[in-house]
Amino acid sequence: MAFATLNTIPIVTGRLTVPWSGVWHADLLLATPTETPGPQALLLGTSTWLCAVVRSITYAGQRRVRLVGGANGWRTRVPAKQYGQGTIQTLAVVLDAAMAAKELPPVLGPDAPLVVGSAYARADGAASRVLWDIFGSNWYLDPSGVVQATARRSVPVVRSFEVMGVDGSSGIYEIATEFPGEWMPGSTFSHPVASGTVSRVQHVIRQSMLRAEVMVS
Amino acid sequence: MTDRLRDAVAAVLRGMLPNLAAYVRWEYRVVGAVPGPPVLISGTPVDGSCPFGPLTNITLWPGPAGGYAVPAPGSLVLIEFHGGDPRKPAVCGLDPSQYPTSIKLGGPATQPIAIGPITDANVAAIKAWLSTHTHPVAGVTAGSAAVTSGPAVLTPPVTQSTGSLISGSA
Repeated sequence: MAFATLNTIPIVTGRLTVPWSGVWHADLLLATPTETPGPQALLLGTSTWLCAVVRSITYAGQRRVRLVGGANGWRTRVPAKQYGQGTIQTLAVVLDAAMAAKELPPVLGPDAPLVVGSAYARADGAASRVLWDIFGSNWYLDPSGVVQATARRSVPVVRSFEVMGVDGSSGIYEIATEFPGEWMPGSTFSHPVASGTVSRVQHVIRQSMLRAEVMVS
Repeated sequence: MTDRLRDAVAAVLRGMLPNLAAYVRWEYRVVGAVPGPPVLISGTPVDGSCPFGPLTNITLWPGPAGGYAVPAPGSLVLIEFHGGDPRKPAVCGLDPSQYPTSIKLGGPATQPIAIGPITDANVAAIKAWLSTHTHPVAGVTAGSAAVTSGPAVLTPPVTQSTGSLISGSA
């Protein structure tokens, strides 16, 4: 069984980008041209990422896809809407946006504001703009496709890993691990030759290997 | 059909600066106003590229402290978002080419104020009144220096204006 698949189709090469804030995405080259419509499950080692296809092109018997976390809704356009004078509940505003975008309801963390304010004018544009408006950079899409409205938590990496290389000037480490799900923005790691806090991570699939390219803060 | 690369760059910019449109003052046409205080104004954007759509009951931030004007339906107002924050809409400007339906200046309504046209009319009336006024004084005879007191209560025709004005009253 392949260690990296999309809806059970083996992945030849690819890159999953997980930013500190916002929605993660992936670019993949698949082993077969088989189309699998609907929700997509990206399997990387022991971690599963639920996503949707943004673009898919088949050429020379191989399919290349761009995927975005969730249901591809947060990037879609939602119309302007005003929330009038009074106390505007955060949950009401974000649930509205999620429903309009056909995404799962966001989960508000303990540090998320319960009240938006006394007014809010949602602009016509990408649904995710609502999340940026209200939470700033304190939100992200988790692997299950649900928005977590909270700051990234500092979680130590506990499973073994190897540092395969480092780009010192960029502050990017190449990590080999069997557990890519542990390597998320906010994760902290310590190793005899490297340590830091992950700011952004790209999980790279190539030559039947999985590597995490970790940009530290 | 649009340029995908250009659209992508624009999307990146919007993503990096999600509140960019909230830093712009947008022209809105008034569809209704609730006299204050505070004055609440509803309107529709004049510019089709305004991403905020129709807005209702936006608070007018007055010009002179304590004073405000109620804009007429059909006139223009400027709407801004304080600090570029879409949670803080406010009307920050009124149409210079249109008269408001009413103006309120600061202080209690009984506090006299000087309004240009009313004041001008009063001064003109006083001037006319004084120009034609004759005032008999008891005990005075022509050529005499002796003057005795007489009634000296003068009541010029003055209309006092107060804190509230309705359009057209001036």
